[in-house]
Amino acid sequence: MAATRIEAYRVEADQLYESYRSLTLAEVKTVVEHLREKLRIHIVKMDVEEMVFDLIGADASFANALRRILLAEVPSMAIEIVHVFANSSILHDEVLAHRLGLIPILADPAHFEGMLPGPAAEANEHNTLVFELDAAFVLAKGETGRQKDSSNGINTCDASTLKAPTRNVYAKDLVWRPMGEQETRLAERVPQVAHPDILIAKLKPGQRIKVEGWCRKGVGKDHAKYSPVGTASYRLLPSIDFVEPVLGEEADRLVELCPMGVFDIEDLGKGGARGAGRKAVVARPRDCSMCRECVREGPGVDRVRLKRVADHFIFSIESVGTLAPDRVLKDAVRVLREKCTSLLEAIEAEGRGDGGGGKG
Amino acid sequence: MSVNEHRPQPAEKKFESLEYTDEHSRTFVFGDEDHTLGNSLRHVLMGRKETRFCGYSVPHPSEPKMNIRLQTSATKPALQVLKDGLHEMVEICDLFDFTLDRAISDYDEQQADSTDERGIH
Ligand code: SF4
Repeated sequence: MAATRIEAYRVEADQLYESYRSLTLAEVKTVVEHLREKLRIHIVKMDVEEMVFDLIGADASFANALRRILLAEVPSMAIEIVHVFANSSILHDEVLAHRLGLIPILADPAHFEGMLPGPAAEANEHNTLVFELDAAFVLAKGETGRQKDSSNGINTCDASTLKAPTRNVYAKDLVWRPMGEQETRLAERVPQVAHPDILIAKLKPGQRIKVEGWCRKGVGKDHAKYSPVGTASYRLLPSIDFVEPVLGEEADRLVELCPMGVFDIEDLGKGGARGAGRKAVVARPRDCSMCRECVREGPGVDRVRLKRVADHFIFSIESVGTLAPDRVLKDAVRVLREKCTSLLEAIEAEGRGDGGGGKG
Repeated sequence: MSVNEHRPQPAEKKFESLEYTDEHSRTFVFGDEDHTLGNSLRHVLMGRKETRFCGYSVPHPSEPKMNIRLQTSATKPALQVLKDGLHEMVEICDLFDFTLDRAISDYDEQQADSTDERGIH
């Protein structure tokens, strides 16, 4: 059986070409055998918020499965139910509840159980975190609220405008109220908001918000607030090569043409005269944005060949701040694994059901 | 007040094998699955030597279903090949996890080295 492998994608006259290599029978392997040899992960950059890594040797279907899971199926905690006791602010209850839902909550989803679907599900200390918000803007007698005091979030306004002052309500005003054993259980990682300075609402004198937000564990496909990443995306590594060398003045043109600074000049040294002994080389292919400026006009039109490596993904994950990006990635791999194992179980169960039931 | 009242209903069946006379050509229906598993499982199954044909589809985006059509050579029934494929996916996940762990520790080491250097200079 003849098999083929896509080696590179190439853009030519605005059409995409795939370049193939056919494999001999001996080279045909199962996917896992292929990956055992070829799979490489190289982390380019990693901190608490962002991670960039190269995924080499894997197929696009895996890169895409990981990306899709990162966005939609890695669980995280978010406010799901809001009990409104008082809300005289300008925000409607629904809008306020929605805003609260979108605040990233710093709590480890592994410490919680998922909520069973349906009305019978009951909140308990293992599936729910409670945050309270009680903010009021009360002015003492005689106070105008116009004095500058940023510590309690009161903004003064210009004395010349006669607008009433406002008080800002921030995410940090949400206070965790431990339930049951939660205080000891979650002591090493106290639940809190990930970014304290998110503005929730603005209050005028006399207005008040008193709500209770119940956090649940959920996944991004249910609601975007549960997505642990801001973005997770990948692109293929650009590969740029020369069909024939670009020399001298033309090399300078090419270097100038590229907005991303992909090309450099190499001094060939021969002759020494400025111009003749110079050659354009590809120095930073990763920076290439595939803008195609170098093949649109000038010296590169028929000498530069723009391609992408078909199995080299530059992956980037940006966390919203609740889980570190490497943790989210590891969770994603686990979710994919669980999908397969639970399906294997479902297949077994189905097989047993067929045999035992005996219905035609 | 709940922040989102409307949820898609979960599928009735997690897995179903549509019965045809030939056990070497089957359509499997997966509940609550989509392109995430569909495409990667298809890719894995395509790599197996018993596979003659494999394709997947998500018939409608608001229906929580994904179909995999699998035709195999006479040596192995389709269901067995599917199970092998799923086991292979599990292995691949383990391999990913292992490679990722190593990449993370390599990166941490490298970071530690570079901060050491900075400390000396
Ligand atoms: S495609 Fe654009 S960024 Fe890439 S090398 Fe050419 S000019 Fe530079």
